[in-house]
Amino acid sequence: MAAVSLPTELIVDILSYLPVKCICRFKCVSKSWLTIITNSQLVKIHLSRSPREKHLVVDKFLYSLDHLKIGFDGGVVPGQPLMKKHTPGCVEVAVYESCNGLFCITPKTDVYLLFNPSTRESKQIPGFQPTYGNELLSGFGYAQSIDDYKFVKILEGNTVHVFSLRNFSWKVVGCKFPFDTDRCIGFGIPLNGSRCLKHGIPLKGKIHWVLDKHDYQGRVIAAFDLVKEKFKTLSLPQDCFSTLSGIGLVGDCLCVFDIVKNVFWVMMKYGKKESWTQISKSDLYKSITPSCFLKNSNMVFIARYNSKWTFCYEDDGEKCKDYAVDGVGSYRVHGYVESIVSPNYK
Amino acid sequence: MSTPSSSVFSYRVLKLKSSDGEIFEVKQTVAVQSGVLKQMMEDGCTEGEIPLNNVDSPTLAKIIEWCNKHHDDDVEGRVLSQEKEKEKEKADMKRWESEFIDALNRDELYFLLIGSNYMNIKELLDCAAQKVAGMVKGKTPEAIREMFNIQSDFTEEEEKAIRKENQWAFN
Repeated sequence: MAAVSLPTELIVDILSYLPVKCICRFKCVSKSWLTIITNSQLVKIHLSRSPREKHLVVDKFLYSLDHLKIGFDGGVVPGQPLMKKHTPGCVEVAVYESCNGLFCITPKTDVYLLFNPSTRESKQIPGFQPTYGNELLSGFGYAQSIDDYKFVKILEGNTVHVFSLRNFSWKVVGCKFPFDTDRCIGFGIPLNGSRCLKHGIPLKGKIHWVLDKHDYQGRVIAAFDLVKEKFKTLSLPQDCFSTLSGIGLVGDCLCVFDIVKNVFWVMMKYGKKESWTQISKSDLYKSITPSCFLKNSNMVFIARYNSKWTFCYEDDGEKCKDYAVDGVGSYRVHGYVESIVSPNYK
Repeated sequence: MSTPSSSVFSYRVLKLKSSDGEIFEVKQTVAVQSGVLKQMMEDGCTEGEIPLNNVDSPTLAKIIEWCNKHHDDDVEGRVLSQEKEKEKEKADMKRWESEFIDALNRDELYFLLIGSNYMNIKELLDCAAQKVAGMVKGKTPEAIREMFNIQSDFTEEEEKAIRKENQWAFN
């Protein structure tokens, strides 16, 4: 037995350096450790310690993979579903981009779950009435200034419905969706199935979709501010309107890409039109549609190619890893960070 | 704002008093790594002995050893023209830090954590906390209780329920 007992703040500090699996295991150490582990202070410090990045593989079930554990020889990786029972009758799960390791997933129409693949906790978002109208766009995001996760649905008739995890309730916000709904084509990250084309990209407390402007005047990025609950528009780079194929994140920057021309633009400074920077890709990635971007490592994206999946690295020359997941056929992937953010968030 | 030169001179060295009454003399330029001592210097209240009631003499000696190694008041005097040289210094420091931390037993490490937290020496605190995190990683809840002097206050049923809920984390 140790002679010394450490105060809570030091226990928090120590735990903040641990992988999520360890932390979950330590929930049964004592009541005070359980309290420390579920407290928002540890959740935040843990997130700030540049957490491990993994990716979620989505099919009929959900799988988690750690790209760092896949060697350059690739091959077939074993697949263990994260949850087996959450999707009775589900054919394919739709997944929104994650925020701080927390996903919003749709195992079937109009059923929404908040899900953390690292802790395997999930919780259903209650009471959305599908009779309100058909969905045009939707998205899931986090606003740091109010420390809240919000799920947004824009319906026919241009009404904007917002679910706040903190309040655990839905509301219709005051502003209407200010775009022409007939010309409203959302570009989520492609390959995610037609429903997911409408899924927005979360960044800096806002959710972003690429939309056609009124009167066929080109395209813009629509940003819904989760704090003010209002829309604003961001300009796209010059001359990229016609063949733009998607929007995503590279690090903490928005990016748009054109797989035909094999070009990426990254918005280096958020909201600054002049900061759009073109990154050209080598022919190695030509015609590969990125389906997921990872932040921390030197990795640029994961892409599907010849029925396998490929990670592309960009430093010291180009390297790729090709792999398939055992027992899983066609699937999609989403990057996320390992966190202990709980769907039972208060 | 000017300070009388005599007081500047007398403040050059701080006298730190450990919980067991031993006095340690530390240069101001070294002591500034402690957030608490830095604040006291700025407030001008470092005259006489500074009692550190939470830090015993073996721990304070270790803390001062760390701070002496990390203080860089003669950096300006040296010319680090080569990037390589800087890299090497960084690597040497890393090696020194891990040897310093690895040489401590568990209780010494805990006292160092408490002391560096109390004196607000961020780099040392981070280093010690990461060392303990490394020791904790992969351990069972039983081993954690032993390590941190904790009695479980769960009933058998409660513990069983939490274990069941997090079964995957035990595999």
